[in-house]
Amino acid sequence: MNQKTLDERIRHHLAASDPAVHITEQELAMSRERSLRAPRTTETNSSDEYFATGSPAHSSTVVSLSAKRQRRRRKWVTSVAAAAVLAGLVTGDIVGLAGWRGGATAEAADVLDTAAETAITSTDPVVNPGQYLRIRSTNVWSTEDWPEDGSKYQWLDTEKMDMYIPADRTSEWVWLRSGRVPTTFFDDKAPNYVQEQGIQAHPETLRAPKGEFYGQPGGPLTTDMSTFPRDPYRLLNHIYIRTLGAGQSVDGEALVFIADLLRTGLVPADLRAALYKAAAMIPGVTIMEGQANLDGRPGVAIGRTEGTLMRQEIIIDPKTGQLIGERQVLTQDYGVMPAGTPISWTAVETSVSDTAP
Amino acid sequence: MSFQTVREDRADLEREKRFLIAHAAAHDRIYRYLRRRAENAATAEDLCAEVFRIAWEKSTDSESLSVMVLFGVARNVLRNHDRSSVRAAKLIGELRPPEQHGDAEACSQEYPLREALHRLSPEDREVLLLTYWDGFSSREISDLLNTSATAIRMRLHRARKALAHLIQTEGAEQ
Repeated sequence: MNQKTLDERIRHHLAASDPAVHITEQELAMSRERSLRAPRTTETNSSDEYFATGSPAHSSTVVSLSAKRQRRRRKWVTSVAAAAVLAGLVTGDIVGLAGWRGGATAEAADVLDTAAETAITSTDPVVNPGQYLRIRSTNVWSTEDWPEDGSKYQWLDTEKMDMYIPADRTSEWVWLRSGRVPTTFFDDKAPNYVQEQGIQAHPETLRAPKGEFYGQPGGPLTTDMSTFPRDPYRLLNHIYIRTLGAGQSVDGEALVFIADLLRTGLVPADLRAALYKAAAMIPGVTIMEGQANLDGRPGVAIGRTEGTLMRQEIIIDPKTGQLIGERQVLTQDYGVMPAGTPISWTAVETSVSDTAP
Repeated sequence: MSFQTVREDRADLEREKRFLIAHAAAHDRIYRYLRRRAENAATAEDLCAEVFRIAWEKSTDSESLSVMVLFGVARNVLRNHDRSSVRAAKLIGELRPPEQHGDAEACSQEYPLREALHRLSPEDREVLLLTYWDGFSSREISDLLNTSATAIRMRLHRARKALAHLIQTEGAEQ
C-alpha cells in the first residue's frame, strides 16, 4: 500500500469514528451564544450598569497558570491575516450576531417597522440658539430593604424628572429631580416600615455644563448619537458589540440597550427609526400586550422575556409610532410583588422651551 | 433613567472587538475539538465557555488571540477537566483511564479502529487525532504541543504504521 492510499484510508476510517460529525448547527449555535457570554458571567449586573463595557476591574482575576504559559506561543501568519480581514468587517459592524439567528415575530416586526416609518418621516423638535430641549419623564423603580431582623420589604418608588438641555450642548444643563417617592405598596408592613424609617424623597436641582451632572461624562445621556450606524443591520451588530458579555443573554441585553437609549428622549428621528428596525431583528422579540398603558397613555408593548423572572418592553403608540416609554415586567411572583407587576418603567415626553429654571 | 457615570473607555471597546473577532474565528473549531474529547455535548459546551472566559481575560494583552493561542487554552482546559474527572472517579471508586471512554472489550468488537487507537501511546494518539480530526499541520501541532516538528512527524509516522497494520489485517480478512 503506498503512502497516499494509506493516508486516505486512515482519513476515511478516522472520519467514520469522528464524534464531531454528529454536531448539529443548533448545538454549535448554543455554544456560540453561551461562550460569547462567558466573559462576564461571574460579574453582577445591576440595572444601572447596562452601559458599562466591562472594565478590567470587573473581570475575574483567576487565570490558570497553564493558560498564562500559552502567551509565549508564536503567531500564525494565516490566522493573523484572517483575523485582520475579519477585524475590518467586525469594526465596520458588517459581521456579527445580527440577522442569522432569526428575528422578532412577524406581528412585533410589523409594529416596529410601522413605528420606524413614522419616525423617519417625523421631524425632531427644532431647538434654536438660546432655547432648550425639555425632557419630562416619570420613572418608577423598585426598592428592596432587608433590615437586620431578617424581614424583607418591597415597594415601588416614583421619581419625576424635568431636564433642560441647551441648544449648545456645551453650555449649562438643568435637571430637576423629585427624588424617589415611595408610591406603590403590595402589603401593609412596607408602608409602616417606610413611615417608621422616615424614608422620604430628597428633591434636587442639578446644573452642569455638557450634562456632566455627577462630575464626568457617562451613561446614555451624554452618548454621542452620531456614532451609531443608521443601517439597522449594522446598528444591531454595533449594539451587540457594545453590550457583549453583559446581562443574561446577548439578545436581552441588546433590547435593554435600545430601551435605555430611547428613554433618554434625545434620540434623533433617523436613529430612532433604525433602533426600531434593529429591535425587529432581535430573536425572541414579540408583542407582549396589545393594550398596554404607561403613565395613562395607551400603546402596544413589544418586548422579550429574559430568563424566568422578567421581560423588557418598549411601549409604542401604534397610531403615531411615537415611543411612550419602556418598562420591565415581572413574569413570576417575586416576594410580595405578583407576576405582571411593572417593577420599573419610564415614560418620556419631549418639547422645546425658551427658558430654563 | 440610568445616570450612573460609567466611563466609556475606548480601550474596553477595542478589547471587546478583539474578543469578538477571536470568537468568530475560532469558536466552531474549538467546540468541535472539545466535543471530540469530552463525554457529551453539555460538557463540551461548559469547557468551551471556560475557554472563552479565559480568552476574555487574556484579551487585555496586546497580543492577538490567534486560533492557535485559543487551542492552547482549550488543550489546558481539557487537561484540567480530565484530571478532575479522574479525581472524581477515584472518589467514587470507578476509576478508568481518562482517554478510554467505554469498555475496551466492547470497543474492540464493535470498532477495531477504536481498539487500535487505544493501543497507541497517548502522545502518538494525540498527534494522530489532531492531524486527521482537527486538521492541523505538523508545524501547527509542534507549536501547540511545544514539541519539535521532527518529534511530531515521528509520532505521526508511528501512529500511521500502527493503523496501517490494522487496516491491512482488516483488508486481508475481507
